[in-house]
Amino acid sequence: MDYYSQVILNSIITGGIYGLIAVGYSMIYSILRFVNFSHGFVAMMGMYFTYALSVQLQLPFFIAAAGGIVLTALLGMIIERVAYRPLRFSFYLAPLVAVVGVAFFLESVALMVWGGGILSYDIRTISYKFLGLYITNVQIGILITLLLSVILLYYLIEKTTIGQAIRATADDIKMASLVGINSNRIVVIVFMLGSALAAVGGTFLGLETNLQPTIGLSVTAKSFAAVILGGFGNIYGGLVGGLVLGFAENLGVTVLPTVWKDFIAFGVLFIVIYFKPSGLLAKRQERGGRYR
Amino acid sequence: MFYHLTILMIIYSITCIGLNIVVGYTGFFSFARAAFFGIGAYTSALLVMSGVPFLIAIIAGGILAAIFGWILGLITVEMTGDYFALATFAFAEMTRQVFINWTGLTRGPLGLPGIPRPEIFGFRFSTNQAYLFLYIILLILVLIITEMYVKSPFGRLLKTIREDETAAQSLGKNIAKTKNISIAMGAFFGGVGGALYAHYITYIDPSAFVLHITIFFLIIVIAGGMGNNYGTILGAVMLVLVRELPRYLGLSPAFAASLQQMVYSSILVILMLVRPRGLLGERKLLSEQSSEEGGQIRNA
Amino acid sequence: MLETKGIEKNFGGLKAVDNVSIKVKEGTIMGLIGPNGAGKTTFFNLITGFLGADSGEIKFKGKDITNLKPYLISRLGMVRTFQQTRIFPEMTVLENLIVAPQDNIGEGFFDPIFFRKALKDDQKEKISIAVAILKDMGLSDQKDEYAKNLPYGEQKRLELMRAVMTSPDILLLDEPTAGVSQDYTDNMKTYIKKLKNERGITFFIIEHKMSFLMELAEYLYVIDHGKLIASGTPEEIQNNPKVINAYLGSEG
Repeated sequence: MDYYSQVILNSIITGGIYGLIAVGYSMIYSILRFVNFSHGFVAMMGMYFTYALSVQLQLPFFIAAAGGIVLTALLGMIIERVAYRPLRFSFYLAPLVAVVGVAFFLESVALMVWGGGILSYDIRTISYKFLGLYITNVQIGILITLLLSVILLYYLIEKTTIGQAIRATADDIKMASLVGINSNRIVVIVFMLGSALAAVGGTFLGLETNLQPTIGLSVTAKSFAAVILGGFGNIYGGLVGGLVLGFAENLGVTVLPTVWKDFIAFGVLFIVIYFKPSGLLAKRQERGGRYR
Repeated sequence: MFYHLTILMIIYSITCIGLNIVVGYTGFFSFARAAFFGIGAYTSALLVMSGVPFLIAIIAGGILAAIFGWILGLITVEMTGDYFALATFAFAEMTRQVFINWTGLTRGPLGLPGIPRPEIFGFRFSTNQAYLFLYIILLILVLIITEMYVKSPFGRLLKTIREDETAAQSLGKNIAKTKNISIAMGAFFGGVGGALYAHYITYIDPSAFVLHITIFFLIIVIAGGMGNNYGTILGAVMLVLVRELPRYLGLSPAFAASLQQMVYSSILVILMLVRPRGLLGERKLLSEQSSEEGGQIRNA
Repeated sequence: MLETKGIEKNFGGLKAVDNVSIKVKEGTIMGLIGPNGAGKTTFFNLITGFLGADSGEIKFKGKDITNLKPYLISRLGMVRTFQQTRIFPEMTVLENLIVAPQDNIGEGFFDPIFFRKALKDDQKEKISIAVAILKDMGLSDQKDEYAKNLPYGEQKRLELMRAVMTSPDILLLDEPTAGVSQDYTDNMKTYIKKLKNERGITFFIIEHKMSFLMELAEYLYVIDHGKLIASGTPEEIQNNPKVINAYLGSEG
């Protein structure tokens, strides 16, 4: 019993982290119907920016994390400017191919600057026993920040003018620009916001496990699976999907040997794509005049 | 060094000609290339190591890859664009996890060392010269077969899938079947390429079949020009140079590896910005020549 | 030749096509008109198998084709065009045409290896047919042009010619003159008449513009809000108050 409560707690923490990264992803997807392949790699960069500021420059962790988030948001802006905006009306696969390029570029940068080895943040973890469950100070911090981020995001999307414009653009980008919303600006904001969320999630991942330049790919895969699981068109879909994925992964490992963990994750992605709601496909085909 | 680079170019050309059938002609962005490459490599290596003749083993590697391609095609038949790309990517990663974890067969991360070099009718291709000769013949063979296909009405049918599946269906074309054949054909050449790779390098492990290699293959196809087999060969020549040359600059291996990744990912982004259709475009069928050979190369 | 009985399609709670029964006679030109959003294109999608019907029956040449796959329906000899023209943009005009015939040799997996001679002869023949059709429509000059480079009106003609290349028994045209100039419209009209007289192709045409079908069609069906509201000769339709109401209601 205790064992399973512990699994559930771990699922909530990993699921929450995936969910936070995936929300950033689903924001971009819901507006542009664009698979931002670089998203997981951006999260990885966020993780390392925080590392650079906190460990290499010796700043206090919270300031370093905030700085990492800001830097990552700027990175999101640059990616939009370089690899997405000029290609929006190009050959239909060009933006996807370009962000794949960006993704691997980021990975090579991380490999060069921080090396391929495993690093970790310089933080002392203290373990508590609470109602028979083991939880660390870091995990408590993650849970609180997760909750705060979600509340802040909800407020931003639902209660502010920018949020309103984002929602309108997500509903119908053409309509939104007709009523005077500067869709280019919204796209930039969404890229920045999405990247910032990825940085928060990436830093959490670094805290929960460790830092590795090669995790980008699996983070991208997991956030896409989360977005599809949670349902499209809904900005919060990724959050729900991330939680589901967190549970699937942690529970799956209780049944199968740990080495198959990644197999399960990608298997879930595959199955999820296969059983996606058919309405979505219809929507894509309508858009799908691929060369137009 | 010359032989080494040229042999690599040929192996990648064969693999990417297969990929070009799927990506360039049929218009589906497949991220499963590393899986087919790996299936071919492991199959052929294991068969030869258990005494099967070289030629039969590489063809078996191709066929097994094609079978997996066919199954993947059946599952993904309804998917378009991004979904197809992601499904194939998930498939590739699942395959790699099997390479890593099915240790009884593949020895997992330890890899398979000592894969024998090719031997045909008692002649052992042990020198790089002999090797190059054999692989050039294979490349020409692959090129002739593929050109025959893509220039035929079958090839034109593939293009209609890329252009507009719905319209092709309205003309009475069995799109699902054609798409499956295309993926299986592409997988076959991927498997053959993988087998040739295994017998040349003589050592394989799961890390040789990561997504990075798929991306590398995709860049070869895109850079050379989608829907043009000669473009694919050109792409293979360029990219092998870009990838392998840093190794000869006397840099540390880790730094050289990230430098080459940086260079080719930048090339990918820049290409998309300047020439999203690649360097050599597709060739048109011109009415004067009817269906005669020797179409003129034009940029799309 | 083509017959539907009580065909229905729902989207969510909305009845897009509601209990529609029609008959298209062989060797005629028949029309389907109705205001925008009346369910005309949905109806076409149902007949040609691009959408599955919720209930009802579709018969073609006496055969039940309800919910058959689109390509199989097309092979039976019923070919359609689309409201938003669907040509193959990155292929030349000629390639667009010669890819269409359903008896093309060389589209199967083994054909390019085992039937090289037959394949070449067949291609030559198809090219000459295509060239003849292009001449007919006055498009010969553009035959080596990429289809995407044609003006919109000519793309619509190309789509029609491509459908003709499949040697169909019946052609379903979805707004063949939408968004094209008067010249093209007249040209299209002559061509459709010619196809009917010379090749005996039956036509079933959707149009939003009434005038086009008034001159061309022998018999018209009118649908509004997914329901069949009238049918008859063009004169009868023109004077039918229900039809006038439906059109005025939607414009007003």
